[in-house]
Amino acid sequence: MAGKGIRVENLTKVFQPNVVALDNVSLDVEKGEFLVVLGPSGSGKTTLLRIIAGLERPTRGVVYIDGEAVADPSKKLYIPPQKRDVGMVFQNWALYPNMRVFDNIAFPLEIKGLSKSEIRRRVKEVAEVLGIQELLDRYPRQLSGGQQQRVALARALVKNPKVLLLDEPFSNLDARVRVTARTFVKKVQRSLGITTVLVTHDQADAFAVGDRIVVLNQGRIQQVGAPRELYDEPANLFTASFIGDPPMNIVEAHASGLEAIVSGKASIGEGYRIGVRPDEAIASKTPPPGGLVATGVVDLVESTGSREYAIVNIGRASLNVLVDPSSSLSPGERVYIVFRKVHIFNEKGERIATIVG
Amino acid sequence: MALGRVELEFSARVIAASAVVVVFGLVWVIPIYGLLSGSLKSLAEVQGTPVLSPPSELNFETIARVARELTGPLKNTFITVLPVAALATWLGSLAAYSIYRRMDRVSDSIMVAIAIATYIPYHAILVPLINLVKSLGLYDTLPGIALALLTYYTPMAALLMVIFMSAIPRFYIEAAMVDGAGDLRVFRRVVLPLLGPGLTSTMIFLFIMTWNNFYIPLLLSRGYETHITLKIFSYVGQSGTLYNEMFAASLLGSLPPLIVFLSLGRYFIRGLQAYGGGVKA
Repeated sequence: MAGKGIRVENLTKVFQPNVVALDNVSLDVEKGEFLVVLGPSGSGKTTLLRIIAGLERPTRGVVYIDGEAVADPSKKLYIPPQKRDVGMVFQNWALYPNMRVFDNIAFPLEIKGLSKSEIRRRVKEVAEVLGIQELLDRYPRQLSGGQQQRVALARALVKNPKVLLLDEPFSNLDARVRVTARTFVKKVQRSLGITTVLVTHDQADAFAVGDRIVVLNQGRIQQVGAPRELYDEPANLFTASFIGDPPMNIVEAHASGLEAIVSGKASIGEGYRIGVRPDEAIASKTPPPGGLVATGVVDLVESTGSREYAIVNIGRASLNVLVDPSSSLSPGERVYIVFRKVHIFNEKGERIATIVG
Repeated sequence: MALGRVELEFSARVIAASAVVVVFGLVWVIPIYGLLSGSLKSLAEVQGTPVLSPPSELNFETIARVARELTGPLKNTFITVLPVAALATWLGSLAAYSIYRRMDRVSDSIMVAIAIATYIPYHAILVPLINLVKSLGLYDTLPGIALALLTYYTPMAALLMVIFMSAIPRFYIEAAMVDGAGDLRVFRRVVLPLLGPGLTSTMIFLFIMTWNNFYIPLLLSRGYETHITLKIFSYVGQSGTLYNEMFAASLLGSLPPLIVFLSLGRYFIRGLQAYGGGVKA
């Protein structure tokens, strides 16, 4: 019944006295898949990872790794982390400061009781894959952040674990190193084909490495899907507003000035809201040939370097929209806005329709 | 100009601080000076002159004679106190590790029990302690004194080690567990090396405490040869005190803890810093 990757069934974690970190979470990670758990701080994502690793025990629910149950409170089953055969990279890498890089990487193998020559061979091998052969004699404190991360990855991978768990592995790296580190991790993961779960609060991390992304908020799964899917078809207001940069505009559907453009295409009820991504609404001075069009007044123009965004007032709503590169807008001007895509959310915050212009 | 004043104020504060340090230093040095000066005087001079007056001549005869008399007790104290300090530190760090690993109601109450045990006065357990050591056939033996000291100081070691342990970030232990290490290996390979300064501090502290302990050896010995503090006490006679010899004995007896502290003091301070600032990773 359980797949060969990781399976989590109806997982609930309550921290005493009554903090619900995870609320009935179910999840399947395919063998060889790179799954990202994305959520704001306090969403329960790290708790989920720690439960998979065995560092926390679930309150309810079952965890399977490679088809085998490793935690099931109803059967008093709990396999400790030592026996789960997982590799984990901690947020601050947790390299043992008293050991050289070689000994850090060799540590898991030493525990397995491998011979000295075998350990040497496998450490060299993994060090080569991760490009850290020259660092083996150094101490962790003599390494840069990016190098420490590679060593942590090497230590996690050297024992060929069934699954690889990464807890915010990029958050301690500076912006430039981060981008290369993401690519690198993704490449290594793909070439080894290891089932991987990465936890992050940063959507750029998630989009860069994830085959699929799980959006978690307040201990509940909001949506699971491929990166593009989450962006194009957010299941609810939380995913819609959490994913995408700049964030989606969300306004009251009624009396916002946008009601007119969706009328006839979707029925708008009480408490409904409309969501528009800044990159899917384009402001220009020239009237467009057709589509979903509204007019408004420019309030403010901001540049991000490559693109310009404008805050435009349409009726009572104020939207952040992309400026047509051929137009240059200034505050007070009347502009046309063409909507490529408009999402409609019901009073519960669920997306019920998407109108494509 | 403003900068100049700041510097001036700064140096005034430095001077004031230095003055305080010097005063404290003098207060601590005066007894040692008294011991030294007293041991260099003859019995008549030591009884006839003020304690702090310098000796009329540098006569090392008393010190040399007392040193010969002290050889046995000093050796006995060393072979009692060193293993006790080491073993108590080791046991204490094991206890501290398991408390740190559990962090639940059980470990909390054990912790409270240890803290209470640390504050039990000797006098409260005097009779049962003597009876226990006697029933083990260890009365008036070095192992008997060592056993009592060990029992008494292990809770203190555990308490200190819990404090040092709490400065070790938990993720090192968790990383080692995920790497496959069982508790003993986590302790030996990951925790112990990180505890270095804490272990040294605790051991130094216990060495000094047990070295200076008077009451336990007194209760568990017939003569004065088992522990240095007893030997020093033995110079207080019923019919009179040989002050110059007692000074010399006190001086020689307090040298080992002093040397230990002076030579290992920076580890002691490093340990305290580790507690304050967390372990540098």
